[in-house]
Amino acid sequence: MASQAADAFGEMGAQQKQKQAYDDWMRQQDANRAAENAKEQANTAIATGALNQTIRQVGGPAQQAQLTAEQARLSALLQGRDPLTGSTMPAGGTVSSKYGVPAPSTGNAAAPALSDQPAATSNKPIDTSQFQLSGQAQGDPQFQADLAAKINAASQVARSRMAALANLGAYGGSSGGLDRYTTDIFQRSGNVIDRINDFDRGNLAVYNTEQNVNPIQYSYTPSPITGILKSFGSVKL
Amino acid sequence: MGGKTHADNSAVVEEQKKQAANEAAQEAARQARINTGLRQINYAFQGRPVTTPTAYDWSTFQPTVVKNAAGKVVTPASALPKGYTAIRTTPKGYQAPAATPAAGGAAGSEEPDSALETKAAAPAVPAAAPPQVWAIRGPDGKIYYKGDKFTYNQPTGRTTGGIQPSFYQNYADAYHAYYDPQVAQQYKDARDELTYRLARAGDLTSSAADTETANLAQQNAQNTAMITNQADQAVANLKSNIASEKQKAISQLYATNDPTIAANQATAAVRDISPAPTDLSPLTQLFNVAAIGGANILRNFNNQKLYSEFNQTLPSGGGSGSIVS
Repeated sequence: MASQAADAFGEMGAQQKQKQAYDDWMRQQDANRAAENAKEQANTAIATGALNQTIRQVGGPAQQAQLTAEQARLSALLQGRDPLTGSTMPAGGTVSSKYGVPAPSTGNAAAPALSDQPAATSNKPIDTSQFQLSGQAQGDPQFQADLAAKINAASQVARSRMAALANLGAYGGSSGGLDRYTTDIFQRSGNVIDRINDFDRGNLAVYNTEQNVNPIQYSYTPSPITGILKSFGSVKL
Repeated sequence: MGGKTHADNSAVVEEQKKQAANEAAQEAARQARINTGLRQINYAFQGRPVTTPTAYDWSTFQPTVVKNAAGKVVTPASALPKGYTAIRTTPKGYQAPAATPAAGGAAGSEEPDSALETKAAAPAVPAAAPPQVWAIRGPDGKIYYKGDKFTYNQPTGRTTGGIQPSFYQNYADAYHAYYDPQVAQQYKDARDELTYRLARAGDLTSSAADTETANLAQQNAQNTAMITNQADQAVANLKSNIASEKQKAISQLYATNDPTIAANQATAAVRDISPAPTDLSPLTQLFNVAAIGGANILRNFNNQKLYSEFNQTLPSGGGSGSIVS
């Protein structure tokens, strides 16, 4: 009887231990799940942030602002190298503003109409003497006035064509054109999203391994004496 | 007398736990390596930010606790250097009180009139709720209390190394250095040719000369702009090429998980960047010079020919007449 009672208590103890083991396992699984969810949410937030930034930057207003800025830059660049259409360098132009990475546009700037005038070049009167052919300096005043008028007209035509070329290049082909602008943006956000995806895959693999950890299984082995006593008890004398 | 309770699979479970912990540690290390590699690739291509050690100004440290819509407490980290966070912690040097109540406040070294201290820091503090003060936790985990002197690296907005805008500018300049003299030479030749033609026709200071002179100047401006446009497009191609090299380095980083290899690849890519071969063939004829006086020359030639033929058909020795052209 005593041994049977001991076994009964022993089994109860084993059951309690088993329950405790299951509870521990559940708690650990819950903690693992919560940790994985937290990581995934944090990563999703980063990826979503990158996506939202991309959407803002490639949205219509932002692209229009970028287009306008690039048209102005390119127009000044094209017109700035020839005495007929501008000074030798864009006014205030710097190395970084000429070929640097264009600053991300805010997308809020209104898009002004692009004029056929250079955006950043000086508008000082053109000195026609530099365009005269040898021997033309002796021309009479009427000839000189006529030449000045035609040089000015040629300047307007050239500027207009360069502005058109700048308009064209700003859509694609120039160093800060919309093709490069959007490619850069998608590449930047793509790199962020790729990294997050890669990390997510890694985290998920770890989580799967954690999920595969089994709970400890307890079992109770009755005392062999109990069995012997039981067999004695069943013997009929 | 009783039996025995034993775990059947404890060794297996322990091994599984070890494997999970090991995998988690390896994954964390891998992610850290990738972050390091990406940072190094960015440094190689875009330059390393230049920072200057700056003493932190505690007067700008005014954190507050606010609750968001979900009721969660957040601590705005305004005016904190990047990587530093505002935290609530026990005062400096605080030790949990013994059995006796901590009358007179906790043993922290915080100034009692600090605006950052909580009211809970006042006299009777239950042992279960130690006083809390604001502090700053650095990126290395070190905690700085109000008044503690520390310096952080303040970005200057400049970068060192990498591919700077001057790299593209130099490329464009080289492009111009090759083509601009050709345009200038052709412009000079065209002007000379126009001068000769006008002079031969006696039209050097005529209205037509004005027109042609202005026309040449316009062509020159447009040709110069064309070269500038091509130089800008060459820069665009160069940028694409460099962006492609950067993507290759990133791909290699993910393939190897080795930031050292990725950094070497990035550095080599930056060092060996070869712009896509630009079509540097000599320019063809850019300028059209008007044919001035050509019609007169042809007309005179034809007149002379007709005159000769007509003259030869006249009877010889007959009269003394002559033809006046």
